[in-house]
Amino acid sequence: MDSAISCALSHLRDATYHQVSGVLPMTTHTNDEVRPSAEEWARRQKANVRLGYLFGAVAFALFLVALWKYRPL
Amino acid sequence: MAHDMAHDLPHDGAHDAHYQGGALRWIQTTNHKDIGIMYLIFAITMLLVGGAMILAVRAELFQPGLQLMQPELFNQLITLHGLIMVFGFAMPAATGLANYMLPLILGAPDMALPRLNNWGFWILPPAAIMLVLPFFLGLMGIGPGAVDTGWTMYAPLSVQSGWGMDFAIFSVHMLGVSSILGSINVIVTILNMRAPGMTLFKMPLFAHGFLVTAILLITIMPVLAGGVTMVLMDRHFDTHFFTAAGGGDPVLWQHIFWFMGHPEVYVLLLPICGVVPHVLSAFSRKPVYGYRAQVYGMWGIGGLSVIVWAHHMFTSGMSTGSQLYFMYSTMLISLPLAVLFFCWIATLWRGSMTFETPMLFAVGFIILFGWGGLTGLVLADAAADPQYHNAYFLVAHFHYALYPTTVMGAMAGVYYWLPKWTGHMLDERLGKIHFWIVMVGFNLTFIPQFLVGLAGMPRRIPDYPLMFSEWNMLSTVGAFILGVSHLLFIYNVIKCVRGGEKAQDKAWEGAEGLEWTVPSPAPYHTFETQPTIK
Repeated sequence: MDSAISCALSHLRDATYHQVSGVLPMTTHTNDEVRPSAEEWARRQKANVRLGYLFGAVAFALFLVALWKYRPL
Repeated sequence: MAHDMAHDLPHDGAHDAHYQGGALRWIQTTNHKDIGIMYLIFAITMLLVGGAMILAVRAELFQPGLQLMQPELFNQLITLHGLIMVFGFAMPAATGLANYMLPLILGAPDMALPRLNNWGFWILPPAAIMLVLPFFLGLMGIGPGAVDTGWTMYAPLSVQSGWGMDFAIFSVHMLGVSSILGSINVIVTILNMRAPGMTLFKMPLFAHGFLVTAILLITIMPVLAGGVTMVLMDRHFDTHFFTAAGGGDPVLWQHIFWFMGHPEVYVLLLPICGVVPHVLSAFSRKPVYGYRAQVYGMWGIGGLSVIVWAHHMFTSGMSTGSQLYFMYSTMLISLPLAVLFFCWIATLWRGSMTFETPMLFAVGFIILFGWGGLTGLVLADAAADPQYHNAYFLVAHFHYALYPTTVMGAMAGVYYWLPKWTGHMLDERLGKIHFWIVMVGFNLTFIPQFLVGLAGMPRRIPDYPLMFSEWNMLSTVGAFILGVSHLLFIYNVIKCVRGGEKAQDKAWEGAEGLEWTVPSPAPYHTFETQPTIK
């Protein structure tokens, strides 16, 4: 029993040092700032507006559904 | 249109900020940092307003009998406290953190929809005024006073209540719209404004927490808006959604409210589940443990949160089958939550830990929220719930769930990123004193409430039997200590804004992430040229 616990703790210790997922999400970012990108952000802005309308429409539809579902008979 | 939007984009961060001076800057701004600051100032203001209201309530409860106020005023105070803290403090505080930090963390120049961002914020102040105005008018003898139904606004009381209820309905509508606009902005920013190379699974956990939260909000807030619209129609247009005499059903309101109300708990929790790993990782000097497990855990919590609402209604009458379903599904949420707890603790495991103020608040959050979670399991038991329902045990439980998240978790985040915002290190000594006063004050307030609740003291009652008086005295003393601690927090923040030791770009030794690659304080415009993520 003791050895099982010891083995589990050992595995946990190793895992915390070696991140089983292979992703180190808070340590791999760098800020090289190599590309000028005003055009890139402007291009994305069009998609932003479309996505904004989409989620706005979803929210409004849910509001209408909530009212319609329980409408007085 | 696209051309105009290109012009909306912030210019080179090295140049002048070129914003209007004075009040116009704050009214017209579309800068995420400005708007984030305004959200946070609004939130702390509402924390003080809602806190002052509940201190008046605790003063009344210091002794049995009616000392300071009549029950009508007591009801208004507890109702406004709940609504203000949830919609006026906790949600704007989270949105403020998201606004300031998301672009910095994702490597974006701003939020995706800056004008919508400005609009989303400026809906809040009039909504808050609308909520509390009837209260102050009532104090001056004008009108029946504020909404007095409890924050749950249960029918038929909400249908019969005075016109403070109408103000509350419109206020909730506006707060809901603000929240939805903020959520749309968060979702679009996360989906479409990440720096190249930052895939969803390289994205920091902060962003995952806010993504799940925003999707939850878009799902639940329109339903609450529909619900309060029905109440408004019942009150003024002779519909009978919730009036039994006209064929309606008061319990329908409970279903609609808690369909919003229960996920709301996770709306308040999940942003903090995103903040805390950053703090734990930085002060343990280790990468977060179980990144993917935490992401899946947050999504699991978000998904389960919308299918468990009726555990709030065990005593309103439902079939045994329904009770069993809602009991087990509620208990199921503890599994992804336990995964998060495990990952947080494993992040600390064998780390080179130091306990600066943000770390103290993060660890304090884990411990106290753990108590909130465990007592929640007790309440989720359909057989045991009738003993605790509407007793002070419940009040203590949800304060253990909500205060550590919305206040202590948020303060962990604020203390952690404050050097990045102000360019100065905070006063560590004051921060630590603040933490320990919070711990003493909070536990002194709410541990007695567990005990009087178990003994049968009901909530929302201004008077109580003599047998509960000692615990109530202690609870009141604790509440005032807790209240004072917030003033210390505000003083510490102001002190940090005004000066102090200069913060380096990377203010904390173990801190990692894009936000620490820009100067402290962060320039008015950041990441106009995209960072690359390896």
